[in-house]
Amino acid sequence: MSEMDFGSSASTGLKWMAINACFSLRSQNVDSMTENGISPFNDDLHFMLGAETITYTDKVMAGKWANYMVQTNLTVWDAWTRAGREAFQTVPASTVIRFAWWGHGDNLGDQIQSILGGTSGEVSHDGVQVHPFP
Amino acid sequence: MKICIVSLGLCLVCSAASGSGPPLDQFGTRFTNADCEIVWKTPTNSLPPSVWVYRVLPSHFSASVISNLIALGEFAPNERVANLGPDARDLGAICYSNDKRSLGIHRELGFIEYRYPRAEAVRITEGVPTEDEIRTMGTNFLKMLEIDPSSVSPDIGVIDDTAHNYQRNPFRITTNTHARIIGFGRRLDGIDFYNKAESVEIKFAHHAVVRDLYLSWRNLERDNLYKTASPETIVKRMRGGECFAQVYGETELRLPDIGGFKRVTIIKATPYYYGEWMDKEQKWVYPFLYLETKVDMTEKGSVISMPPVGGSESAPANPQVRWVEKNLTNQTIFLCCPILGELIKQ
Repeated sequence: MSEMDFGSSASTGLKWMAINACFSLRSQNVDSMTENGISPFNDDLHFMLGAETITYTDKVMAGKWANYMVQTNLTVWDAWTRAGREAFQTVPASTVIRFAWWGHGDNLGDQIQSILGGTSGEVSHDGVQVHPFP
Repeated sequence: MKICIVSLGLCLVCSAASGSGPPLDQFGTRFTNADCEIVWKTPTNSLPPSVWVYRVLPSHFSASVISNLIALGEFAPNERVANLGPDARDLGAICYSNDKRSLGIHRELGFIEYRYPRAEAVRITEGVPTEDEIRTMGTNFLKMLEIDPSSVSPDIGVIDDTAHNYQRNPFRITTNTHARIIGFGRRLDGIDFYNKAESVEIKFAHHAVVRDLYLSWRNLERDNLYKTASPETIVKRMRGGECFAQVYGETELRLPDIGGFKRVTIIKATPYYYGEWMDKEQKWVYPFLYLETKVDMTEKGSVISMPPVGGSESAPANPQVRWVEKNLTNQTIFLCCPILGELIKQ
């Protein structure tokens, strides 16, 4: 992760990056990396998406994310969590799956059709439980 | 001749209701092991003696519910849109959208979604309802949505949305709960929907502003009543390959080879109703049985030993494959099985 440099200032450059892998954005690791000045993205990336916990390589998860972003007015982050919730609806009831983001929280309202300006403010990290439903 | 055709048509309708079941194959891998020992070790008095299959009808949200939701989003009449995306199939949907919020009331599907993403700010915590407050506020929303309280599961979930905010010079991590979510699941005849597939979920951000509201509450009508299948029948169905296995895991979700199962002990049996994803069409609502089991098994696998980089005189030059067998006991495996027994009433 420390070797990455996600983000581009170009108008059509990279603004969001998703890594659908188990523990890709585990809280303790994100805290530790940030504390030690390690960041896989530059100031042009709005935020990264990933999983705090175990996740599944569901065959339709990425497609659902893209569909929700392109075909509805869901934000990039909302589309990510909703795709996860839909894809993981039938996993074991006791398995907790949390999706996460890391980056500039001020950009969380980004939609693929309307990007909220450049990045600003401090960096944050947050996660939300996508399975089981609350 | 016409009578014959009509009769055949009726029979096809009957079989669609009673002969089908929930799509249990979506839950995992078909359990196919006719030889392993199966032990039923859970009391059966926790299971209902009979279960209903429900027919899904178009929903009818009242004018009051619709008007309250439009008021929640402060939508103007000219912000009404045909749908919230090309996937929308509900021609009777009432949808509104502007650059801040959107609302979809899908009457055919029994589905409502309200979204206000900019209500959330990860560093603002003022006015986020406490757990006690959100329970009261959530209950008030159920009334506003005209949800019958007797159809709500007592298993009410509350989740905090807590962010880690990083500050530099000096480095500091602050955590703050900037939103809180409450979820109400639906219950039919004392049976909950699996994973709250039918539910109301509301997320409150700072100053108690509603950030999201989702409702999936189809209009259901009782169709056929069945006896609950007996443990003997369930075990027979397991042996017959009618059940599907899934594994619980915090770090790994690989299901072991079912062929290696030696003994399956059923320690808990919970009935659930199966609900499709919120905006998916569903014609029937079926119950099924969710079994928690402890499995003793022999797991077979291969271990590959790689030669050291650069080679070594004492080590083999090529990768060595070795087959290993290990016995595992008390592994938690879940099984989803059909629950319907004999038809009691049509």
